Amino acid sequence: MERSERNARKMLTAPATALAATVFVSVVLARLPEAKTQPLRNAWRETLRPGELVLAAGRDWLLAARDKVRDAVANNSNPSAPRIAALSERVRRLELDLLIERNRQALSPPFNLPQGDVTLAGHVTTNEATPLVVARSVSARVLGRQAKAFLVDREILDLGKLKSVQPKALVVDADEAIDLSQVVDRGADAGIKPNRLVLSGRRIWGRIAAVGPHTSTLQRTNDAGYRDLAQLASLQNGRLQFSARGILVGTGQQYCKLEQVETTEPVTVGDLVFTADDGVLDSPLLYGRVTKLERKPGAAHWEIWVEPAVTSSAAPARVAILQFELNPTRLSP
Amino acid sequence: MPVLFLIPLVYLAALADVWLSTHWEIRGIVPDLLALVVFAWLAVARGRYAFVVTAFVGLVGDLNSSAPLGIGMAAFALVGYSIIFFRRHLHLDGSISQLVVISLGTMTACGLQGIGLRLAGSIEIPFTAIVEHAALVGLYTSGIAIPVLMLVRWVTPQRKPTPLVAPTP
Repeated sequence: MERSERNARKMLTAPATALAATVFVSVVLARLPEAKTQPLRNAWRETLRPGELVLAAGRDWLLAARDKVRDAVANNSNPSAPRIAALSERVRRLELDLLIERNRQALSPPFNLPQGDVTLAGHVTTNEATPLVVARSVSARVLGRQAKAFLVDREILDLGKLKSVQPKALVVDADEAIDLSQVVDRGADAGIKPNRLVLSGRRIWGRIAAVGPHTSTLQRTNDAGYRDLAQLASLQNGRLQFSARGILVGTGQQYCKLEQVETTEPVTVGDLVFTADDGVLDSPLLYGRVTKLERKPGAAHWEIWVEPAVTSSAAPARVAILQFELNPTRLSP
Repeated sequence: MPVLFLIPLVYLAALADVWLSTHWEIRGIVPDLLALVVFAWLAVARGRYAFVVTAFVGLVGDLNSSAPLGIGMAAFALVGYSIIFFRRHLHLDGSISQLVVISLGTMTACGLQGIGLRLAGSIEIPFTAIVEHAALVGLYTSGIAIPVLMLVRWVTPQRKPTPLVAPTP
């Protein structure tokens, strides 16, 4: 009897000890700061990634099969339509392979655009058609505080007009406007237009917010109000693989946010964020890198934080302003 | 069922949690697939320390969400231990028993997680809302579990319920 009681007690206490140890470990984990637990979460996200890619591939296959069936039903009266569609798809894939191959440069040290006005290659087609829209870059210097103050005194730089602050009304406000604004030394006299991208190498620093006669102010990617269409890319087998698109939004803080990316898309910390293809440039430009990722329960979209490729602490001294123009070759008779 | 078979099921459940949560969400209530898998396994698992496995699955649930690590792990461990305790006195091999285990286990685990998050200050909803949410999650999960258990029962051969494991002398 005593022996059976002892054994029963042993059977109860050993698991109870294991339970106490498990709960203790849980409490320790719960007390850890987020910086310590983030690597665990990232490792788990990486573990889930292959499964997500398989599911995404399966979904795409099913959608393609559904479209194929629909096309087969719709093309019964037009026998050439499937061949045309197949050839168009092949062309699209070849163009994408070319784009991905060229994008490997985005991972190497920054590719600095040449000084002065340079015409960049336009959209590549398999039959080498001349593009209608071409991009060119205009080199510009970023003005420091003293340069800005000098120009304000000379009434050449009207920060009041650009930033809704009277430059001489309150010295403090004027100084704050001078410190906060990013100004480049190209304006309307150089043909600069608002909303043009400002690059440091092949990395986007921001866009032109307002254009003055000789200078322009810049809205950085992480400034509040900045918005642009962007796409994610990950490095797989030494090549960039583009995936989901989203809206890059400046928050006014250190990081930007990438919104409207569904939770069914495979995303992981370290993925790169590029501009979405606008049909002009050979390869997209780099916005930054995914630095933090979160999925709220029941949420349809990811919470993605992006570290800008050009940070405030590494603000460039010279930049390139991207301008679009019509290709004169296409317009000439 | 060996623990090794549980690993791919937990992986698939975590994936489905990510992919399907937005599609079958009803007023903020989503089924807890990880709880479904692990408590269904626990109902038939042999071994006094099987609750440690449920604790690890709870940790997977924490990693899969934005909740602080450890709260789900503790909740699953406590619920798993309780199931093992009651399993010593009850037959839990039948489908109905498993369904009850899944339902009550999910409700309790979800409720404990909610209370843990409330005490940690991560959420500020009242305790009554936490209990209501847990009950609804448990019901929804057991609803998802019904066809799964029917399929498993249809696929696996029937066997006699095992007798109570007597304490070893």
